[in-house]
Amino acid sequence: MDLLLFFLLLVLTFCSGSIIEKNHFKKIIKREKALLRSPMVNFGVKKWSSKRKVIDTKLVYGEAVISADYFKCFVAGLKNLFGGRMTSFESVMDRARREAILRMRESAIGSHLILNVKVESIMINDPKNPQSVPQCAVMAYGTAVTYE
Amino acid sequence: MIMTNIETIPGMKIVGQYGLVSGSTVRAKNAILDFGAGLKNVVGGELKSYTELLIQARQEAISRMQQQAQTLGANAIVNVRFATSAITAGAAEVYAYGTAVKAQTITGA
Amino acid sequence: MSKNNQDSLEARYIAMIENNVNVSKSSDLKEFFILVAGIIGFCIILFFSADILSGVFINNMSDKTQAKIENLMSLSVIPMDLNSMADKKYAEQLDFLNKQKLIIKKSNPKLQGKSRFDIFVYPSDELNAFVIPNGTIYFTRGMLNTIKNKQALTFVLAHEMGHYANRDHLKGYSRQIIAGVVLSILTSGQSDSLTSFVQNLGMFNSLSYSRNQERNADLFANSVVLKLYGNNESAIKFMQLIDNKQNIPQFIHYFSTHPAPSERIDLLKHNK
Repeated sequence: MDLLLFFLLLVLTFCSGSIIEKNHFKKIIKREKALLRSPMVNFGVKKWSSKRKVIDTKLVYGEAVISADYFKCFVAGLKNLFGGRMTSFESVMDRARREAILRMRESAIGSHLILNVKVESIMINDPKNPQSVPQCAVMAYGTAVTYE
Repeated sequence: MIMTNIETIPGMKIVGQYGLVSGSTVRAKNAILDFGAGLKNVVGGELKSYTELLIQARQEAISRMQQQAQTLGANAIVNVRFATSAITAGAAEVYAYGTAVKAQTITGA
Repeated sequence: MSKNNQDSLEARYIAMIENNVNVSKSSDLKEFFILVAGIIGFCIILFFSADILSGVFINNMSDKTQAKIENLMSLSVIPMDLNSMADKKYAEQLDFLNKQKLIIKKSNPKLQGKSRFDIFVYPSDELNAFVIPNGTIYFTRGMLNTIKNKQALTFVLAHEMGHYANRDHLKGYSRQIIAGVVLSILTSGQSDSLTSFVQNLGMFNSLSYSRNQERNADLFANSVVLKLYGNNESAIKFMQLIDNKQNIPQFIHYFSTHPAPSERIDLLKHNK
């Protein structure tokens, strides 16, 4: 009975998790394509702004917290025994970072350039409890510059 | 591919920029090495298996970042930064990001 | 910069977005099956290699070691004096069994100087007899009521002593311990559901192992009966009686701890 529940949970979380992930990636790709022409760099302003007059400068942020599902955790736990690349968590981290960066870029629509972009990530789950699902919190920030 | 963690490449001129490129990976060591590292913790010293794990993760993150830069047609990445996070016990997560640029050597005076 | 150049740059951006290098291409599900198969394979190898090693050890260890191990284990087994509760009408049969016990013990070097092989009547109407790890043998009331033939009783007694002589009780214990250790390594003592799942899988194997032990005990009992009586006809009759009483379809015997009675009859008939 206990076992049946466990398998049901695995199957259920696999289905729901993969559907959510697929949709999320689709959305991310669509939004990234829309923002294709708004450039973003991670260094300072010295070289790039000297020729044109800057009319507006502001700090822009984007945050996202994405959690892995039960199935992904189970697979990663098994992978931890054998070692190697944890593919199930790679997509979680990738989604969180891209989502945060996208939110930052979307809040800077109208600016010409985002300078000195930094990406910070922390795990907000309880690291002492091995059963807790990884929750990846990412914060992206930069300076949006608008030319005349 | 040239990589620097400053905003310029000494001796070269940046002629075009392609924006942010990034590479990330999550890797783990097998359970036997985890156990060995746990034992090593008691006496202290370098955990060779985990150092190796970090090296592998860093190499993979960089190679993924370079792959993105190559797709864009860049020949250098400037201002490379690394970020890590503890996703689960015994796993290393490395995220590398930088700006893909096109650089040219400065010729003549 | 021409417009054409701009377009190709955009195409390169799209290629970068769509061909995401930061996520591995292999799917989670495929990875899951490979990993589970790997772990199960690893555990099976671990279990069988440990089992073979312990089997070799148990078969070759000295009687002193066995006595030590038994002393350690039988601490938890308190032999109940059920005879005081039993009817006086079994006294004659018990006397006979105690006499036969001494004869069997003397004739076999594997049984020298170990357990006292106390014999008790177990208050149950089923047709059964069993031996517990410290060598104490229980006959059920049903067994003593039904079986009056002396050769058949000797056969049952010798069968139970045969289990003891083959150190089957120790083998069973070692199996349980190994399975427990392997499972706790596998789950790091966390997942109860996985543990119960693997335990259920292991049942089949330990049953067939047990049937193999029953076969060996039958052979042991058969040789004892042949030595004492010169024939084993009553033992075969006893088996036929069990066969008639049980009346279970043949295929069920795969799930049973004992071989099918017809199989056991064949075994006895071929070893006259």
